[in-house]
Amino acid sequence: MAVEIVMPKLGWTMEEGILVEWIKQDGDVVQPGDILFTVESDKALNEVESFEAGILRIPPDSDAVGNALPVGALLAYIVQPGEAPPFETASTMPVGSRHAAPEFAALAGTRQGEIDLTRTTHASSLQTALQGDLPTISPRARRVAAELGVDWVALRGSGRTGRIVERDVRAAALATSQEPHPPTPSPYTERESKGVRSGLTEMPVAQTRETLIEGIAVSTQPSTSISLTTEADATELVSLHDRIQAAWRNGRQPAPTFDDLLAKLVTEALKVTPLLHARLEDGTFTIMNLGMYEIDAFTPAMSVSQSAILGIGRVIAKQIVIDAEKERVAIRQMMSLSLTCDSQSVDVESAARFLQIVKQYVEQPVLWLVNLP
Amino acid sequence: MRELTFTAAAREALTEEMARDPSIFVVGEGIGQRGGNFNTTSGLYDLYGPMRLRDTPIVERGFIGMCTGAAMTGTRPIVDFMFVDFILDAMGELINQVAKIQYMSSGRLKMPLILRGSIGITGASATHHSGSYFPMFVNIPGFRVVVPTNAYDAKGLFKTALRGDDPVIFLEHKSLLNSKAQVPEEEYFIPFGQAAVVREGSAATVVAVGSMVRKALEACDALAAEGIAIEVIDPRTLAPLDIPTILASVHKTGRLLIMDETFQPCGIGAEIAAQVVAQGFDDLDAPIMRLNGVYTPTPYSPPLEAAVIPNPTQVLQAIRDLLAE
Amino acid sequence: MNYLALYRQMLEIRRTEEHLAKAHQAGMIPGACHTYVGQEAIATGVCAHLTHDDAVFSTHRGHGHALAKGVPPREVMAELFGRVTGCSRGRGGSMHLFAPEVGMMGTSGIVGPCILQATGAGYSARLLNKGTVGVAFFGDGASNNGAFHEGLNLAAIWDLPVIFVCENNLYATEVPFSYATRNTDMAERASTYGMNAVSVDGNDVLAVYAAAGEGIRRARAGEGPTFLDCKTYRTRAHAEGMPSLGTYRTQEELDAWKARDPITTYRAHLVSEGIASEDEFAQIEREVVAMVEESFEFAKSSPYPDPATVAEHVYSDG
Repeated sequence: MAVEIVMPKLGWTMEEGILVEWIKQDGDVVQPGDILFTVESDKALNEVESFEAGILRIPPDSDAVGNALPVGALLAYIVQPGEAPPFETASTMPVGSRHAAPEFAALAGTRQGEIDLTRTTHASSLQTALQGDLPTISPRARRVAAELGVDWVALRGSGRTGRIVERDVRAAALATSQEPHPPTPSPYTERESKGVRSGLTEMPVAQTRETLIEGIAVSTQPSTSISLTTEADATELVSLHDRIQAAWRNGRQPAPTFDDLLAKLVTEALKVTPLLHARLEDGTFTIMNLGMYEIDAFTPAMSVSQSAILGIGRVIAKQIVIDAEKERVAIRQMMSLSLTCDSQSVDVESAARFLQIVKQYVEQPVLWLVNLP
Repeated sequence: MRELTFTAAAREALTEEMARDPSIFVVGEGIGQRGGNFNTTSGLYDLYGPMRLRDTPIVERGFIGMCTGAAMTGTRPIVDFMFVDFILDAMGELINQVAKIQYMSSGRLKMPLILRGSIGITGASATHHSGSYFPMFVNIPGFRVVVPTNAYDAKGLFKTALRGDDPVIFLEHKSLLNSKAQVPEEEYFIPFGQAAVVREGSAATVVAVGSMVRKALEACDALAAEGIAIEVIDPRTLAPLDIPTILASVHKTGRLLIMDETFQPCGIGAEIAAQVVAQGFDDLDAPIMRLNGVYTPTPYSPPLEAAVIPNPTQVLQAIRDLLAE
Repeated sequence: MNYLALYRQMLEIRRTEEHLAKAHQAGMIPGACHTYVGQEAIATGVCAHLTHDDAVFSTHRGHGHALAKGVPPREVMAELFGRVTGCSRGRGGSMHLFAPEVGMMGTSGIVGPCILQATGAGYSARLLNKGTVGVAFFGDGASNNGAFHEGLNLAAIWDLPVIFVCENNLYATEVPFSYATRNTDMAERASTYGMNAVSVDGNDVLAVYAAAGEGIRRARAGEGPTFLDCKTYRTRAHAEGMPSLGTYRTQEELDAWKARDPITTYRAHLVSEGIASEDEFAQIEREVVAMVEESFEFAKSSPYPDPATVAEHVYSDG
């Protein structure tokens, strides 16, 4: 039976090598210990011995010499007298194309792909949190203030550095009856200023901090609009949101909301779809989230001034097939995405590509957190 | 109830367990007929003879490596190392072998090896007889690290160590060896990973390690006279570390100070602080503070030696500073 | 005296190592691989006297010791492939082979500790009157390490039942023994600790068998430790992927030692003495090759360990 000769692993870290020269040639008789070929790896030249006795058969169309090939790449065969090598028989795999240890590559890839989400998000957002001009307060005092309904922003702290501590909050609670404290505006996206519902985020495509509030035009959807719908696995995004909320309890400003994350995500998706971006240059991109009304999916209506609108359905746990072959299912947090665009300014392919990226970003927030396409 | 010294209580635990389990043997320098530099084994040689009270040449790496092999083959060795500084010669055996054998054998080998001996800065012991080093051991997966602070705990924790199958670093502070406490006649065990709340209070929590427990209690007496009630926790074992007890206390007090004679960087205080911040952040009403010995080798001359360990004034001030935060 | 059992054991080690070397080249072994090719007579000759209650401690070149002590080739191969069916359940690899159920108490990536741990096994044997021995296998490179001197001294002063087997293959990685010590007479160095020390041709399995037998008899009889200075040579590189000659060996030296291959010379000896026939050897060859190939397939098709188990067994309670 033909024995495969592959690119050997020489040393602990070698992943690929260059086949410099065949010492034995196609058709040569080889014995165990004979030098078959030389390999260059890590700037060192190595001689590779044969373990086998037989006849070396190198495929005539092999372009292996001089090229960097991964460890395990098939180079040749050793056959017994009278035996034909596989490349002279039925259909064969192209020489030089195969990797002998795919499992290791897969495992290594997984490990490299891991990124500490908490650290990434926390570091970038902490700066924003530190820009505020509120008094310092201990975590415990903040917690007690929330429990007692004390507005601590106006308090004077008795801690060493003027920090508001628990005793200050308790004293304030005793001293006055409490006025309810208006919620602090989110510094991440401006909205809610003209009666627009929470959950509706509009932003200019060019990403200035101004928000254009146009209102929703009813039944003015242009006849030329296109609508695309897909479903995304939002488990990771929900988890990210939860982790941010948990990590934020000390922040002086409210943590980014789920809608803030969606707005950021869509902004990043627009950056990597320049075609769509350019065609929307003059218009407004709107995100409408009706999840809080238990809407599963919808086709958002577009106003004339809008170029595109992304409808977000509610996040709901569903049973999803994750591996049909092995009949494996899992409970995942699913969310519908509906994109409506003006077909005069956006072609359907660009819109589809954009929606696919949004779906990927929802499913793998790490992709946009680190600004990778 | 009778009173025993720390050393006598630990020796009583050893005597009971050696009578019960013939696979226990002790190795060390001068632990045979001499009975140990700190009287850890006095009287035992006459009971159990040279195979079980094995005087060694001065070869710490050698006998620790030997005891590693013994622990893998059915016996329970106790290395009586006298001063913890001496076993630094055996760090390779300890970290590469002792701590890893159970894991590398996927639990099919046990490592019932006890390393016991003195730690701590006291008595002009100078730089090769004053070390503690327990943060290094806590950092290594596989070790149990025990730091008893009184006779009662010393016996109960030593008994637990002698019945377990994990390697235990059992560290006895020299300044505590003659301290007395009530020790019951009847058998008892203190589980690892269970801190003791040695004084209850509500104004702040002090976690004190080793010799600092006594100093913390003295400072708390002074503060009690002013009507300030401080809670003092003795972790007793540093690996495993009883974080829930500390968290519960901080939940009550909102303030935490960790006192430890050993060096501050990457020390046990850093670990406790990090865990409390992670799990008890909303309970904190002040920054977590630490009080440690000075980051320097231990000098000999008494005024210099006194300057490297926290003194009563510093302990009291550290608690007052925490309360003022 | 079962001559063919010794032959079969050596051949099992050789064929397993050859499979592992090939697998390493093919990228199937994610880490290191130090083969025992050329030194098979030593593990075989010593372990033939041992039971599963005797404790063997070994070093980074330990595949042969594990196999000779009774670890099945499939478990050694699976371990090097990082599979859960490996003797260390995928936690060890080439340098950390554990199989306490057969008395293989571990190979080590650190040179020296095995000498001390075998001494400790000797201590347990004496304290518990087990009648067993501790055995340390190590190379010439270990003999300049403190553990060598500390372990030999402790075993000698307490008359412990320990066999110290030095496999002097002339090079510590690529450092010649003659460079690393002024006195290259290993038996003489060991005897200064006051123990029985003998030199033996490490490529002659019968010579190793005889010397080890006497040492183990003495140890079990309470006559103290024995040091075996076994002169041998590894005919493959220090580790797979490294050059077999490098800057430190010559082709002439390698060829001379290959001509003294412990397996072929033993086979020739048995034939010339009329102890066994070529037919018997052919039969053994077929059986060993079949078993090793079955082991290879087993290892290759075994699952990887579950990452969820990564923190298990750090402590005895989990």
